[in-house]
Amino acid sequence: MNSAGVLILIPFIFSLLCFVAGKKWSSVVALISSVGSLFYYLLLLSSYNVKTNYVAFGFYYDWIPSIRASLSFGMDAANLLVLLLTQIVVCLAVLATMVKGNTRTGAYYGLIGLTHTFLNAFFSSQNPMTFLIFFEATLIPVYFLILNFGGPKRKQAVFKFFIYTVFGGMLMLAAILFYQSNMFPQLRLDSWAEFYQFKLSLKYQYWLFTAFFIAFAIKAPIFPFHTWQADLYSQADRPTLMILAALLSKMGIFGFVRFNFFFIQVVYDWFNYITVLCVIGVVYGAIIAWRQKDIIRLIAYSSLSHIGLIAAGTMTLTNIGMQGAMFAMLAHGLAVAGLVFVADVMIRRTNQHTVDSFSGIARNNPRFAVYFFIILLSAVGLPLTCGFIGEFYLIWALVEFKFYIGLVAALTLIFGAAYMLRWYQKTMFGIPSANILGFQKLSLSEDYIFLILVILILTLGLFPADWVGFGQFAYKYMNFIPDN
Amino acid sequence: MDATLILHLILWPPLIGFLINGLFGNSIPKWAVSIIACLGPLTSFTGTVLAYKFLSGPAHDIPLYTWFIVEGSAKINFGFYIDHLAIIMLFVVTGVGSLIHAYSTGYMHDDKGYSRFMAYMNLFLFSMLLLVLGSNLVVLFAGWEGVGLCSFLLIGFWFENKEYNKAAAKAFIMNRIGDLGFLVAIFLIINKFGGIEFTSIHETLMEEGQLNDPQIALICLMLFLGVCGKSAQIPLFTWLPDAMAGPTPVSALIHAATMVTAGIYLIARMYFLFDYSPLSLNVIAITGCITALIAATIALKQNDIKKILAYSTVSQLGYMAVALGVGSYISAVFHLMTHAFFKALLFLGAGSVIHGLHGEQDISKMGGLKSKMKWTYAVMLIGTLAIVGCPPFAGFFSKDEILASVYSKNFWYFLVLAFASVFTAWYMFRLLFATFHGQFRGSEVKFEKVHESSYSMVIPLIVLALFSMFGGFAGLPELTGGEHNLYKFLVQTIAQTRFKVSHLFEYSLWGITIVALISIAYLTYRKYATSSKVVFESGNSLVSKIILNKFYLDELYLILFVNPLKKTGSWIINQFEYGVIDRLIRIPDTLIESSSIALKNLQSGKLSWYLLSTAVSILLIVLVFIYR
Repeated sequence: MNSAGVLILIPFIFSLLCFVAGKKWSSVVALISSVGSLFYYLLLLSSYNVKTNYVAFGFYYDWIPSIRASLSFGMDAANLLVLLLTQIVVCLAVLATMVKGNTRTGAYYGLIGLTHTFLNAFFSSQNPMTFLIFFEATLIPVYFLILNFGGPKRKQAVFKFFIYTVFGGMLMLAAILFYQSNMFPQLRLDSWAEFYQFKLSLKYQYWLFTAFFIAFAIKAPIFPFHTWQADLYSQADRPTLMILAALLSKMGIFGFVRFNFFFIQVVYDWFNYITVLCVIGVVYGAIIAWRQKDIIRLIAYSSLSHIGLIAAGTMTLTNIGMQGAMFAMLAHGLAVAGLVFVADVMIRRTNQHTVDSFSGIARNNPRFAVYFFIILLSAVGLPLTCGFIGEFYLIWALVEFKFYIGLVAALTLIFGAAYMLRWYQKTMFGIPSANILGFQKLSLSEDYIFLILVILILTLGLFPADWVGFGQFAYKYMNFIPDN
Repeated sequence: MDATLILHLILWPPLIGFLINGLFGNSIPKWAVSIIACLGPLTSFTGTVLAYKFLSGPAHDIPLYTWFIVEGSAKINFGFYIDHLAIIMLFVVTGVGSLIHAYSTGYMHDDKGYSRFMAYMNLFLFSMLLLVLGSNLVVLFAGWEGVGLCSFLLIGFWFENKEYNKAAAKAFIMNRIGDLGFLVAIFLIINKFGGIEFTSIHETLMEEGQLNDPQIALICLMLFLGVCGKSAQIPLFTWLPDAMAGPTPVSALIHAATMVTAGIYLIARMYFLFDYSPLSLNVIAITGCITALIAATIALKQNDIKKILAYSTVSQLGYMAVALGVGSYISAVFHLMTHAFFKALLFLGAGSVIHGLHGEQDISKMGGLKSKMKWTYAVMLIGTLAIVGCPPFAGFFSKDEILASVYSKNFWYFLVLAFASVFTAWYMFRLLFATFHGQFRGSEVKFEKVHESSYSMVIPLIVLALFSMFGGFAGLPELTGGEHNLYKFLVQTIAQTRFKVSHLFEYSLWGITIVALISIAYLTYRKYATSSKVVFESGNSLVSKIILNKFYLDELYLILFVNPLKKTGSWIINQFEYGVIDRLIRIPDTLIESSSIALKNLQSGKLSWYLLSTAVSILLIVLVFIYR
């Protein structure tokens, strides 16, 4: 029964149940589904041995044999951390909807479940076709989630998002079809290994990489393809946003992780241009976040900044850069999910969206202030939190590869502290303002969400060795370095 | 005794104290909070004594577990390292730390955030211990960031005040500018030496190190950027005076005795690396000189008792930097130690004054407190004599050693430091006389309310005063027939040759010091203690205006960095993001849209238009066929 297919099937079946379960029970069904997936994932993890069997728990389905389109799933060292992140964040997002007086309809949970399904399928995909299909499929439930449960300007925002991503997806589809039609007929293409082995001639690779790059850069997003992001984030329902910010942004990065080694020569040639874009994003996002009034937009731009750094790390094509990127995906996912939930707690209680409308929350809600602070520390990369480890590897990789680019990327240390502390000090410190006086204490489920996040952040920060270590197996696998 | 056991005994108690007070501080009685908070540092201190007594051999490397690894590059241990340098630092950190914790139980007792305060202090101490004990640069960096974080939390301890919050954020961000350099230095070191443990760097360097290697110079300069942030050297020192917004024990512990000396410690710890780069040593010395002089100059004109001491700290750190810069690492550590004693004493004394005056910090509103606060006056007198370098107080020996060692290397550095010493004597005597002598310059009612502080505050002061009196004997120069015990102890870790100066020079230095001190004391006494109307600087002349405003450095940074960034940010948000980037990205979008509009017009549904276009098309086709 140990199969990646089951990991996809669990949320799928439960999401169908959610649609019919009705308002009263759907949240419980969703919780069972997400917690169940988490435990099933941990079960898989416990029996996963990277050394004996790199791709494990494979699930293969010969979809359309005539055009050699097959669906293939499995767990390997490259997607292990991000799958873990997916299970955790979906759990937390479902928990976040169950906060008192905040439950949603059955359709909402059904869509969350579908997103979960597609994300699991996407991250565990083992060939380009599967990758592409679920890259696109994820869009559908997210589209409806925002269209039906978003803020007042959701229609424009989600349309923009949709156009952007579909545009990128089309380019990728074209690239993959071109690839499929040019490959050797004997290649069955049911694993990444075959994909890496068969390389097209260089002149095609440039075009293909451009298509892939734009698709991923829009999805991540990377500067300057990011303008849909803040609009969408500010319109999304916040539990959805937890999934959006923590997981959908990782899809683009994960794309780079998967495909960069296929385009190894192109990435080397274009390294300078691409990383400059990424690093501009690091600084650009940080400066906007620093001057931003709206809390959710602040999170969006801080995410742009961090994602830029992670993407730049994948471009180095070094062991350190890849390990860093894979771990940083997990670290950033946890931090950003936490920050979104912090924003949710603030906004839900007061219905205020700007940084300036809060003041002095720490005075009457010290517990919340402590949780927020620890999550913030991870976001600014303070040692002994998991954020530090990711940042450490990434900046290290960049400094080693191109000193000046690394130096600019390292500015995130300063800017990150500047905008995060500004947010924290403005809202948490100062004299409690009038609308804070009725700021209720954290409820039990809120408390749990924060506690889980904080424990994960600190544990992963103190004992990251094994988790980061998976990255180097992925690196070796993608680079065809035999295990010694 | 087992080194690992001693390490655990030193390292963890403050963290445990932090956890208990942080989690349950509000639900346990205050006396329990006090005991738990003080027990942590005291246990660590006991551990340090044990380490001093029982640990033999040059160093003990204690890797607890592997923090993270990158194959082929470096294995980063969560590991610790006890050697002679660490033990001296531990004595300073846990000894002075314990005293300041005890003092805080009195000073902060009535604050509503008492347990939170004590928890932060414990967390700070833990981070400082991480910093001192780390066996590699990454653990050291963890402690380094940790102390910066605690500094942030404690400067902004009274977080309802916006100004204090600004000071806290400023301290953190300016420190982070330095940390950027530190972090990059770490990567460069891994790159160059393939390892990050101090011992492995040292070994590799011994084997293949080359003098004046540009890579090593870059590493040293990057590390020094970190030092500039943490140890408040030019150009990053402006956060330290603002950091005085924190409660006074914080200023004493963090911003005088321990955290700000972390940079000095770092260089002493990495001395073997700096030895290979004379260039960066020169940069350090010059920066130190400028810092020492400028900060001392600013201190001359300040009226806030804590600000004077803050600038004095910056200036003294400059001294230490110069000592490092001329390769006299042990002298720097010696001064670090004595400075920790007397500067903590002075800050706590100032705290006692502020406490006694119910929050007054302006020395132009003090005066004549001698009669009301006998103990505080006595200890402040001792502290002042120690910092100005009056024999035989602690500062005399360490300062003398720095001056002599600098003289042996570079006359100009010596001259600058000598000037700074004169300034130091001036502002310290000014502070002392204006505060305790003459007549009280406030209202009668206020003077009536002035009181001596409680025992929990006075006793630590007395202990620190004793250290400030006798601490210098740890490093008696040979001239007095004594043995430099500290040198003998530290040279086992820091292999440094001892500087040589002639006896004549030493004697004359002492003579000049004593004469100068007496005359400065006399002049300041006349100016600030005897005259009934004391004149304080108001910044009328241009020079005093510039000095009063700290050379306008804050304003300069505002104009150069902060404001442009703010403007850029607002401009990006308001104009660039949607005006340019969004439009650029939507070019394909707009192209499709406009072309579809054009195509839409083709299908207008009007019969005449269709007929016309059909006719034209046929005509065109026919023409094409004819003229092909």
